[in-house]
Amino acid sequence: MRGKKPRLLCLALGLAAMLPAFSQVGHPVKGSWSGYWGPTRTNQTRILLLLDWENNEITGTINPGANAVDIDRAELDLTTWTLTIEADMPVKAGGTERYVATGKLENLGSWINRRYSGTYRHGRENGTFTVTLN
Amino acid sequence: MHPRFTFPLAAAAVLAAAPAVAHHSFAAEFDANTPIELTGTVTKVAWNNPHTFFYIDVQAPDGKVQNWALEMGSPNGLMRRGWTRNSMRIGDVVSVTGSRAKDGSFKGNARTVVLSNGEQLFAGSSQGNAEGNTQAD
Repeated sequence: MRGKKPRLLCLALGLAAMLPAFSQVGHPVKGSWSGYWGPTRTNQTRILLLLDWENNEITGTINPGANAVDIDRAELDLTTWTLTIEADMPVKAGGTERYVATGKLENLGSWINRRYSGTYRHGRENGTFTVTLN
Repeated sequence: MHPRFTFPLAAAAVLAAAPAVAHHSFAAEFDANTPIELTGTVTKVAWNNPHTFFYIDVQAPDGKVQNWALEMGSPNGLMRRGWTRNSMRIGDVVSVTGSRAKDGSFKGNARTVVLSNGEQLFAGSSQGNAEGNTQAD
């Protein structure tokens, strides 16, 4: 019996120190993402994407705030980590055009370099986008 | 206690105390002589101890977007100054006064924040000597 208590105490302290490693941080897409999208490398627009996971569905907003656009469809292919989001987004000429973005989620294990990049179509415009998790 | 348990216990205690190292004085990181006034869109809010951070996209004069990290007091200290977890939401446009980091990076210590609804709140700055900012929390 001698020495058993300190050993247990050490074990308990060690396990307690490891607890943060098991913290649940939610769905991989959950959070705010920032980056750029545009038709060419020199014509890029800043984008802020706010994604959430509610009732087994991905929900979200493009550019939350005064000019927010709700994402009305989001689909994640778990086999390839390909995420498609769709929304009716305003165009400069007035009105809205369908915005469809498809890209891959990468570096899912990283908190500082999780990336979502791919291509988009907005009405007649096509381009690329890259956002990283904030 | 047996001596062979001393080292593991000490190591565990040091590991547990590691987050406290994140708490630092204002002068160690920020320059009171380099004031900043920024307006931008909130991209992230992190209610962490010992300092809450928020991040804003600020458009520079050349049109480029700079993402600034702004430090405030502890969550508990901010609550005492009237903050709630919903005071600042992602996408809100806020204005900030404070001091820039000494290393010249896009980082600052926030002193006051004007929220999107026009309400001005003190940010629990570790700089002190401003109303509501007596000391770091």
